[in-house]
Amino acid sequence: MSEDITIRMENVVRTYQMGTQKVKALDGISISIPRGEFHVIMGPSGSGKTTFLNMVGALDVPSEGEVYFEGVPLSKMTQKQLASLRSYKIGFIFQTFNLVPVITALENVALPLIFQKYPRKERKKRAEEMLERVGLGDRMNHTPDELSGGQQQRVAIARALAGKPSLVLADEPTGNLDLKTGFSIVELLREISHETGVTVINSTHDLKLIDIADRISWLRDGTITRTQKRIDVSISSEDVTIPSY
Amino acid sequence: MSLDLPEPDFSLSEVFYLSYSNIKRRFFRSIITALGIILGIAFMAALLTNSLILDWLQTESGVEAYQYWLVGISLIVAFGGITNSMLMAVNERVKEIGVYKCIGGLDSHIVRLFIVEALLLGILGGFFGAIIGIGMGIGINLNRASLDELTVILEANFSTLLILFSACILIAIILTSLATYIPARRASKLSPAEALRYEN
Repeated sequence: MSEDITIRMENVVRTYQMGTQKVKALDGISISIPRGEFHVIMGPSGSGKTTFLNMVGALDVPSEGEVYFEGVPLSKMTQKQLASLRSYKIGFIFQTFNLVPVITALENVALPLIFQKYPRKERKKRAEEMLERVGLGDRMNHTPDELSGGQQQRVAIARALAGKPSLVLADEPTGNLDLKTGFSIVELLREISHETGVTVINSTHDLKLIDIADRISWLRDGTITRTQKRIDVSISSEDVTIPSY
Repeated sequence: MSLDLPEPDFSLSEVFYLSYSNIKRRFFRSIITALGIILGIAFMAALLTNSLILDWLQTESGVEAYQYWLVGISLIVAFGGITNSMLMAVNERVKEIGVYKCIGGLDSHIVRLFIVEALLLGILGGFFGAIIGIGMGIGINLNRASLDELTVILEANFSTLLILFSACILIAIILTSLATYIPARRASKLSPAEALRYEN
C-alpha cells in the first residue's frame, strides 16, 4: 500500500545556478521512507542535507525527478495545495529554532493551528498539552528570548507536532546546542515519534545520533552512498563520543 | 490524485493580534517608523491649516500656489521616509516569513500580516501627526491675529478642521499601506526555502 510509504523520491536532482556555474546540490536521489520510521540523514556540511529536506518538505522544487508524499506526486500540486500539505501533514524543526520572537511559547506552539482553523479554546488546550509533553509546562508564557537554546528547541518540537503531522523534518536540530542538550532533544523527538507513530527525517553530521535512528542514509556530495538499518552499522556511538572526565 | 486537505486559513482577528504583538514587542522600531509618518503628516497638516486660516482671516497674501507646492513636497518626503522604514521592517523579518510559509501561510497571508501592521501604524502616525500639524498651523498665526480672534474663527470653521483632521489620517493610512505593500508582496513571493535561507 502506497500510504504506508510516507516519502518516496525518484531520481531527484537539484541544480543551483552559481554565477555561470551549475552546482548539483542533489544528484539523483532515490529513497523510500516508510511510515513511523526515524530516519537519520548523515552527512558533512555541504553534502546537500538541507536541500534534501527542502525537497521532502515541499519548500523547494526539484530540477529533475519526483517526490511522492503518501503516494501523491508533489509536482502535480498547486501552490495552495502545497501550503495545505505543509500545514496539515508536515512539521518543521530548524537548527536555528526559528520561533516567532514577538509572541510567547504558548502562542508559538498554537500558531500552526491557526492555519488549520482550530477554534481558539482548543488551540490553547492543544498547545498546553504539547508544551507539557516537552517538559515546558512552567515556561508557557515566556517569549523565546527568555528561554535557553534547548528550551527554544523544545518549543519548536511542540510546534512541529501540534498540528498532528504525519511527517516531521528536523534539519540539524542539535547544531546550535551543546552535546548533552542536543542529545536530550533528539531523544525527546524519538520518544514522541514512537508514541504518535509520526515519521521523522533528521539530518545531522553528528555520528552519535546513529543510536537514535531506525535507519541511516549516508549523504555525500548530493548522493546517498548507502542506506542501512542501525543494527547493520558497525560503529558504536561510544567510538565517536568524547569521554567525560 | 490528491490528499484532499482544506485550504489554510489566517483569520483577520489573529492577524490583528499578531500585528499588535509585533508593534508592542518591537516598540522602539515601531516608534521610529511612526515618527517618520508623524513628521510627514504634521508638515502637511501645518501647511494646510496655515493656508486655511489665512483664507478665513481674508488676508491677501497670495501664497497659495506656493503652499500647495510645499504640500506636494511634504507628501513625497513622508512617502520616502515611510517606504524606507517599512522596507527595513520587512527585510529584517524575511526568515519569519519563511517560518509562516512552513506552517501553511499563503503569499496573501504574508501580505495581510504586514498590511494590517501598516494600517495600525498609519492610524497612529496619522492621528498624532494631524494633532501636531494642526496645532502648529494655528500656532504660527498667533502673530497675525489675537488668540480670541483665532478662537472665534476656528470655532466657526470647526467642521472644516475636522475634515482636514480625518483627511490627514486617511492619507497616512494610504501612504503607509502603499509603502508596505510593495516590499511585502515581493518578500511573500520568495519560495519558503529562499526565505529561510535569507540572511540580513
